[in-house]
Amino acid sequence: MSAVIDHAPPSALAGDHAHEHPHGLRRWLFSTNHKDIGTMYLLFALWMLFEGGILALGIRTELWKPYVWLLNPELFNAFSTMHGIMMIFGSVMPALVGFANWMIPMQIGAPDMAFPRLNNLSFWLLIPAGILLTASFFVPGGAPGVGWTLYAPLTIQAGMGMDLVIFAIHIMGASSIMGSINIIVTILNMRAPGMTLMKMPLFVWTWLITAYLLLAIMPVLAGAVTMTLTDRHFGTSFFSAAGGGDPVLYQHLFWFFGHPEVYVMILPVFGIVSSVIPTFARKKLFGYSSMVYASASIAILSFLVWAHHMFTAGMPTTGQLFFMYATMLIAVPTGVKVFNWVATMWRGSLTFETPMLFAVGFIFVFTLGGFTGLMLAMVPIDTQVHNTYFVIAHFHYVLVAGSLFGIFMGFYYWSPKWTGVMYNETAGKIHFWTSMISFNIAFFPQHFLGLAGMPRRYVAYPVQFTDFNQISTIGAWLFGLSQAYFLFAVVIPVLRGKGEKAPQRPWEGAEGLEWEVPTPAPFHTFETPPKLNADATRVLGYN
Amino acid sequence: MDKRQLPPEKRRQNLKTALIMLSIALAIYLGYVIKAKVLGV
Repeated sequence: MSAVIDHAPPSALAGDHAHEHPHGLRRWLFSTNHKDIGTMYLLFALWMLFEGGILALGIRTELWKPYVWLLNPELFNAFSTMHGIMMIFGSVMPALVGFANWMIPMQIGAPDMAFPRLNNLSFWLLIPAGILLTASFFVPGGAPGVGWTLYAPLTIQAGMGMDLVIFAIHIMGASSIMGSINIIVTILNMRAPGMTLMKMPLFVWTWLITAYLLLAIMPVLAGAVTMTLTDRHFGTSFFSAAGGGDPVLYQHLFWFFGHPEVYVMILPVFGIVSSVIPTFARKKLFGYSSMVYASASIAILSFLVWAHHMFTAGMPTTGQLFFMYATMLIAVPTGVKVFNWVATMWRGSLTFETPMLFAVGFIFVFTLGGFTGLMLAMVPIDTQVHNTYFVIAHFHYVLVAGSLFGIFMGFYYWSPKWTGVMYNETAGKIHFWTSMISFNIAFFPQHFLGLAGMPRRYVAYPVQFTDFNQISTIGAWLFGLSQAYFLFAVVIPVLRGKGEKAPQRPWEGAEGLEWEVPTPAPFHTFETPPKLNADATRVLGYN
Repeated sequence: MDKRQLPPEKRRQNLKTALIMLSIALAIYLGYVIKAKVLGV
């Protein structure tokens, strides 16, 4: 497979002088090229997406019937735990880092990431982590069934699979920290002359903010799982009440990481949406600077709301009020963003190619997930629906219809630049509509289940919940089939180079430096710093 | 010098920024663990 061409056409040679690169396994194993590493991140994310997806289908199939019939309860818990961990740490985050690797250097006119070797290490650390997560199913006791939040004291009592998961999280955390340092340094120090901070594409801005978030939160998670590890094996009692520790401390540490983590998974997607909508509306983005400030506000506020996940763990009323109001405050900058996207479309010359369909669909379903988030922010409501399927529905509306649809959107938007061929537009539209419909069949009924009182992570349930569960299971299978269709009808053909040849600027309204390089993107780009126009969207020549 | 290598002053600048970022991450990681160990939970 080759996502990047070996030899650029003569027109590509301006500012791009060296195209030699290793071939075969060496090209990928020792790669220091941001495009190759980006491709590997995306392929890793695809592997984890399908592995985590198979676990999800196992969960939903078990829930087809109200009694235990397919998975034993321990395995069911292990499936739900590993589904969450694989999707968050293995799929969504690596996919967005893959986009960052591919697009940030090209969008800021840099030749590569600031630390190419560190970039290679960041990626290759993920492979043992993915293997450890998978292997945890096959050790004595199996994968841990403790929930993706890894709450103590259950984690202290879990079997050997827990150690593999802790080790995997340490490795993935180290990879994330190295990746974020690389991204921050690249954006701060490697921009082409004339690419000032307030001229950077929104995708670069959102990733800069995300990288700072990651840098602040991953060490907290690493600290929490390190303490879990020492509680398990080295006689400490950080989280064990029997030894004088406090399990609620773990919850505080985890959610201090866990809530900003939600924004790690959605802010870069906001950047992708902010690239796609202006392109297909053929207008400049409405309120660029307010978008930047809104992204930064969301990131700052995300540090002040963690305990809304712990309303039922016991907390003073003043604490509940603080975290309730702080959470509601996040709706303001998020509303600014949604308003700006709609205002960008207003009176635009709209067309609805697949990336735009995903963008408009994203606005609808992500906003719905945001609204249920506001409901959950209210203490009296959260007390009623905490740990029910209402919560499951809420965060799947945010993370599937938000993050995953955003990743699909970015793939359809930028893959012509990566691969040199256009994806099949009909297949893309089929993928969009089947995903959108089946997603809502799978997750909308879960709101009703949660409101009616069905708890999450239960392998069996009272019979009155059967109908909605069966609808949800049908939707989940259709969603899974839709992603298999995406793999075989869209991804594999473009990776094989099958399809219409893509022009340098496949989208009429697209602006930005990534569209100034030939298609497919040459192996090396912007080796000589480009001279940019006043908006920093066009290359006028090379220094 | 290989054309693809960054100029030395740019490399120094990159390294300096990276070390500042790394020290923030390490301070947060060790800070939480040491705080819980020394001051208790």
